Amino acid sequence: MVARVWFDQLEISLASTKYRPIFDVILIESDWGQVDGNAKNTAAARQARRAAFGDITNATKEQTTKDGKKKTITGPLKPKTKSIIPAEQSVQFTTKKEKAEAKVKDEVGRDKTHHDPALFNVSETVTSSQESNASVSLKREEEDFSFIEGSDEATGAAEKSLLSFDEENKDDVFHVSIYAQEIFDYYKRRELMFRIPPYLGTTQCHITAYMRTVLVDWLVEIQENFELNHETLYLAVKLIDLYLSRVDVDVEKEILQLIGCAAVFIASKFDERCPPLIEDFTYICDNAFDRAQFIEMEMEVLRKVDFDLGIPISYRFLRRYAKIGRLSMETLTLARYILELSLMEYDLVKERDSMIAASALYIAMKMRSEGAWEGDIVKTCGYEAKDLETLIIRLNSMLLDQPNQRQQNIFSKYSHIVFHQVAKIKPLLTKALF
Amino acid sequence: MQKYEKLEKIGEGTYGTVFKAKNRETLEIVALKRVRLDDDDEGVPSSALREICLLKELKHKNVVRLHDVVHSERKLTLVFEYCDQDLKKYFDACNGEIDPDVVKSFMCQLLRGIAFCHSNNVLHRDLKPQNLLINKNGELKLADFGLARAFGFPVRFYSAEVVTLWYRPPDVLFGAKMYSTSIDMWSAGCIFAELANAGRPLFPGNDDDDQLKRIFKYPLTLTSVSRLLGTPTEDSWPGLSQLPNYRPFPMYHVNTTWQQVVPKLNSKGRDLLQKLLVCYPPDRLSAEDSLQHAYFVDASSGPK
Repeated sequence: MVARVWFDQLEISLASTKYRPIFDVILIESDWGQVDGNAKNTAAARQARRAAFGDITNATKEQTTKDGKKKTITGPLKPKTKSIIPAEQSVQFTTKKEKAEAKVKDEVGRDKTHHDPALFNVSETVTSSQESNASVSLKREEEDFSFIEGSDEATGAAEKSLLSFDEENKDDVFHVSIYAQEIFDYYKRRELMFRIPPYLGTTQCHITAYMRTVLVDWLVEIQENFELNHETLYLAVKLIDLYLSRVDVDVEKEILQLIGCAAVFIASKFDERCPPLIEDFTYICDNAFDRAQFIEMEMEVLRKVDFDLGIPISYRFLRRYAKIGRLSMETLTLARYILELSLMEYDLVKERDSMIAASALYIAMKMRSEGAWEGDIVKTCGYEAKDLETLIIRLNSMLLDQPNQRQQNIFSKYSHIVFHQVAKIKPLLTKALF
Repeated sequence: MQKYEKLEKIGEGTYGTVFKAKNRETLEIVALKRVRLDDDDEGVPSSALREICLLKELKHKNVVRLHDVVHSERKLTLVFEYCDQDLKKYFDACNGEIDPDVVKSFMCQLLRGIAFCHSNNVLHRDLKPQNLLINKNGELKLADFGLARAFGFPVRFYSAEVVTLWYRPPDVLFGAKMYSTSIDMWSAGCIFAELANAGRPLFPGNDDDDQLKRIFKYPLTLTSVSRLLGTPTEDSWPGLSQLPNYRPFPMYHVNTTWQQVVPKLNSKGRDLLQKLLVCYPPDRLSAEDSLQHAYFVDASSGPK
């Protein structure tokens, strides 16, 4: 089985991966680069295409646009294998899940401004009456329109006052300041809809936390080689976890790679201007899967996540918090490194993305002795240091533990100069963090 | 798809055909948008994927409701709420006259729909009369999210090949790939003028050049510094000459007034229109601010 070989190969390659950086991705990713006129550097850097997987990378976005079309698919089409998807399945939105969402909304509604972290960890706190469900879902639909009716909601005035960063950038249309805080408040309520219950050893018995780590590590490589946005990587990991926690079959480890590719493919379609082609994925999987299987898995993942792709991800929260705190690029990059490492940790999948982001930033700020956890940062994320304590300790122990072998990929990526070599910064002892 | 009885074809979306159909159990009339899935294609088209997941999030009375998604062997069917007509057909049937209260009502609903999308992180990117559905209660709903996308903070480079020509803002016509919520506000302005003129399009250009020419011949407000100048300059629009497809246009002599452009619109309406049709994107009024404009002050205007 070729797919089997994939795991063996990866286990070997983990120890011997040679990291070659893609400068363009990094530059495009840089908020600061984008806004202070580094666009030219970015465009130039884009031309420097990396070819770690030989010829298989999709052409750079710039080139693709100029050519006006993508390369054609030349791979032979294998006959479609027996479908694992029932011939006709309906994704009803008014299902148990939606009711559960309404409950979550209720929970959020009652706790709109400050989130009690305990709430998230206790899985059975969600109970509410029919009436409150109805009223809350109504509120959810119309809540954003209070400003039109001149609503007298007590919170209205407070929410309208912009954070100082947003105020200063009000005229910069690219920061979308007038909607920014509103949208991030919405993300924070919405992330509760995507809580991931523990699935290893319960629904999934063949897969181990180690296999998940290997898969994520491989996705980090794909993200770099295909020159995808970091948002795409984070969304793909989220889709994998959601899928594995929701699918009712015990997934064989040979299929894990296919699930991973399908997740990246879907995430790319959601966010990228030019998503990679199926052919690119079958190539990097050494043709362990054919087109038909790939298309089938895409639909399978989409159905299991109920076509809900607007999932708040930690990476977006992090950028927002760092910006509000006016932190340096080095500190943001260090926090991104910590956050990317956190993707590999199975025991963190149950945590809220906004909290992981805040905790990663907290540690980065301490490590670089920059800024303090107070003022607008606390206001925008809604977490005091004490709310984050457990997660901070957990993330820091992960840092103290590295570089271990399985984190080699991310470690070498962030050891590079374009990432300010943040991976080489010595972690602090936990007691020095508080 | 046994659940729905197909009644008639009602149009073509960005991708896939749209049918009117009846739910056999509830007898509810719905619109079905069918997407073919071929093995040669790249799986689910990203336009369909985005429309589904964005519309699942956007539940508002001024945004068309997606009820259900049905997947069968080689197709994906999106089940939408049914609306009797779109704004284009409404124009065709109005005999050159639309009551000013109706104009105000439609505009208010359009802006509410846009504001809701923007505050939920979504750019529509193809607002035009054909994509605004009207039901028999006079409710207006944003539809066809095939070109829509979620935006990030800050925004990054997106496709410049968006928005139907007549409703495309000058920055995008010049090839801008960095844009945000203001992209939809220009379209809203064009639609506002079209509503006020009972269906006569404001800038019916033939190509990019003609489109820009038509825009620059209008008495548009550029920035507070240089008002009432037809063709924008680097002074009135910082960064203009850096746009990918920028080319200079002559300074057109502007000899029309807004009163001539939209004679039936009152002065408050004209003021709002001018604030939407601003070439320099950061100065274009947002949907949220538009809704607080004096034009909408009399309470009776907004539909319930």
